[in-house]
Amino acid sequence: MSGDELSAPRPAGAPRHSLTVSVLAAAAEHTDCTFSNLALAGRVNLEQLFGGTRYEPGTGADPLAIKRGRLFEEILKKDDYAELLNLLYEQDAAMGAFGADARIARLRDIPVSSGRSGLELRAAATRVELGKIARKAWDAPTLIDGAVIRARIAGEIAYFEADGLAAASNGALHVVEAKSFPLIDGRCDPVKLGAACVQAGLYAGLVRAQLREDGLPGETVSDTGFIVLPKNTRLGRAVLLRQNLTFHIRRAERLLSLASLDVGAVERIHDHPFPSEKTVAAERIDALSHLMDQAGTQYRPECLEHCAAAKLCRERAYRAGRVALLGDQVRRELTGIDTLPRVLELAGGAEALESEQDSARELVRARRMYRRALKEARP
Amino acid sequence: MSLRALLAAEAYKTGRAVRSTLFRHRAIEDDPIFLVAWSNGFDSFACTAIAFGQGHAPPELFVMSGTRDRDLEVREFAAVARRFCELFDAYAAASSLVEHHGRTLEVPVWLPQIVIPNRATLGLLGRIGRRLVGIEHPDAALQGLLQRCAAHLLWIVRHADLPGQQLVLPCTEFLNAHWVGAMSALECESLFALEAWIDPPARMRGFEGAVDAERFSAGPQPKPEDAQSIARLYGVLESARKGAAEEDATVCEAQAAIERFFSDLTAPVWALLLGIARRERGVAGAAHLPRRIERDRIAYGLHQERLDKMLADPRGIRFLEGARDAALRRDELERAGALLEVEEAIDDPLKMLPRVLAGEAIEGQVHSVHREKGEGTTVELRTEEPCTLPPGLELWWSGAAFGRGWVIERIESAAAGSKVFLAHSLCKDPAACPTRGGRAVFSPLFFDDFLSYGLVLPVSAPWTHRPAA
Repeated sequence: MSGDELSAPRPAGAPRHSLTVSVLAAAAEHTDCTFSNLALAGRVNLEQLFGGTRYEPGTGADPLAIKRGRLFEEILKKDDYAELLNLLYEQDAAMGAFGADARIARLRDIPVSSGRSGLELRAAATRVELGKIARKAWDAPTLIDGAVIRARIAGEIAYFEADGLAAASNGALHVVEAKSFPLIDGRCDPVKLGAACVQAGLYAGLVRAQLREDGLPGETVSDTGFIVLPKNTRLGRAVLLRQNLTFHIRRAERLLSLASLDVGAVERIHDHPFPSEKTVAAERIDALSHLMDQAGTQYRPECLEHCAAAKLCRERAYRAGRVALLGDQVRRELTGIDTLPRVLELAGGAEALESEQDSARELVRARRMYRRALKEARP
Repeated sequence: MSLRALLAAEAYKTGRAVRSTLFRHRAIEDDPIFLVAWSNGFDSFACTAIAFGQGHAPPELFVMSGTRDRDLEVREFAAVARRFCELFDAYAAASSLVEHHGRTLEVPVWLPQIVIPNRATLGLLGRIGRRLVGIEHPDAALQGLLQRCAAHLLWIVRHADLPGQQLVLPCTEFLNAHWVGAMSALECESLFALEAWIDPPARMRGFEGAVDAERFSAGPQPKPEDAQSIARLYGVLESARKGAAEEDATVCEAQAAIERFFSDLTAPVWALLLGIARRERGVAGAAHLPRRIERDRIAYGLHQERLDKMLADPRGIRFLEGARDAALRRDELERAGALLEVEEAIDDPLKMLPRVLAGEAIEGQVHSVHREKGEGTTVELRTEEPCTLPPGLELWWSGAAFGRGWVIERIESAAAGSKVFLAHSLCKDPAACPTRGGRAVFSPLFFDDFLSYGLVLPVSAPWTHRPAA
């Protein structure tokens, strides 16, 4: 049974969400966590599931940010995408790529026909346009606005909407990601830029998979992505940043293959599915905690930035005294030791297992010297 | 093996953070300026509110109204600038004279210290400074005030990069340098969580206190829920402004609601900063603190001295003049970093400990000291563990880490440890030599004022690639 054929068990009551690229981007940060992979495969909306509990993730979109994002998009598309096309033409000097005659495929304008959803139609149209670009057809578009990429994630079809896909005349395809945080004096928020690159990498991975599915070369999609940002805090002017997405694309491809979905785990949790959001908070947390026990988790402090289940995972790691609580650097220093109480036991001279011996020796030394320093400091 | 890992395990067991130093390595003035700043949540470049003042009085809160009326906006900035300059310039009023590079310089008697929650606040201050630089106003006095405040803020941000400086005290950095809790680097960025580990609320362990404390933000980014409230309150103000004058009751009411909100947001942060300063001031300061305080006072004196000249310069506020200045600045930062490392390790055995654990330094008991006429001094150090350093290596005794060092002559094994024989050819002063029977640490750290390469650059940069005339 492959990951594609699997889908995690979920009762009708478990809250679901459609897969967006931000959900995928968040999942890309912890592909080694079986619990998280199961939630992704089952489209389980963990944010909603933890809602009303003390582990509720502190998220929420700032209305100002949403408004700003919409305004910036409008500016880029004004006058037949003049601002965006200008930015692409400016790449000519570096790439000799974008010709003067722009052809824009406006897929957002496709009318919905009976029996097929707008996303389905746009995905089909995107496929056609991508084919033209890959084959370097004379009528290949320079820019696909509103591209939708269809992908099968853990047995179910999902549709992903890209901000833009720009095709150069040399046949290379670049993912365009528009974000509304500003670039001032050549600097912007590195965390937000990183997140934009993760998203762009995912789009690139999705398009590559689509092209390969159609028997076309996936390499048509360039490793260079374009992140478009407002220049300065006012939204009037935009600037394009070229970003190398090689790493992000590789990680996206790994995630999309869902190679890490543990088939055994799905079988193990078959009797313990994700709870319904209507279940009482305490019972819901018990059920989720039980599910985590069955499936397995890989808590790291970074999960707090991406995963809605991280607060519960952190508490479980704390209760178990896991070294992982302190982050990767400390974990590496304490090779072979799993828990913090064990760290103290070994530092106090307890007999070490073979795997613990190197760390234990150093711990004994550190404790002895630390105590002596304290003793000598006190008169 | 880092000492931090061991202390974190200890903190896990006891449920509270553990001190990782024996001394306080940053000064905390008796009555510093405390400062809390807020952005609007999404746009980290926008300062929405700023509160500052000295600990003996409540904070003065300035809230930007988000107006599109440029004149009103400038007046709002001017109010912040006026009060900030009053506070910061007041330190120059009480001054004393010091010798600096062969001339007399006026320096403040008290260190003009600004206590802030974290380094992100410093980033926001820099952005406010740059915003003020960009404002042009026909009123020369107003323009002068804004430029003065901008120059102060930009200088403060620049000075804060200097390792060991104490003019700006970001509390998260300070606490992380002095305490270890069972938390990750990411969680250590939250001042409230950090403090909950250090001083947990009643009947709570550090972890539970920290989880609970994550509800609060110390700025400049408010929590997402607060950012939503801010957006809603500004939405109300924007609607009230439509077709109404700034003095209208609805506009004033909307503005008052925003001010109340930021006042509530600031209050816990303010109390936290005051509490941290009060507690940490009680810890004994490290031996080299006075030198660094003196350096900061001199830096402030120089800044005040240059300020008028800088403000009169038609090219605007600038701290670096070309490649030469950039190279000198780099050198200044590197020297300050190296010196800080030596000072902290020499002052505090717990700061030296990581070097001993890493095998870069040796610690042991001084078994014998031999002074031979014309042949220098030899020390026999008995270490508790085998010495892995090679013979011929030069090390400095932490009791007198300057000038020539001690050279490892030979190493002999003894019980579980080693006998290390170190020789010094010039050590005549008994005070520069460890005493028999005492414990001593020899490390590669020393004050290299006289030995290292001094950066001397020609006054005009030797730029070889000049374009053809």
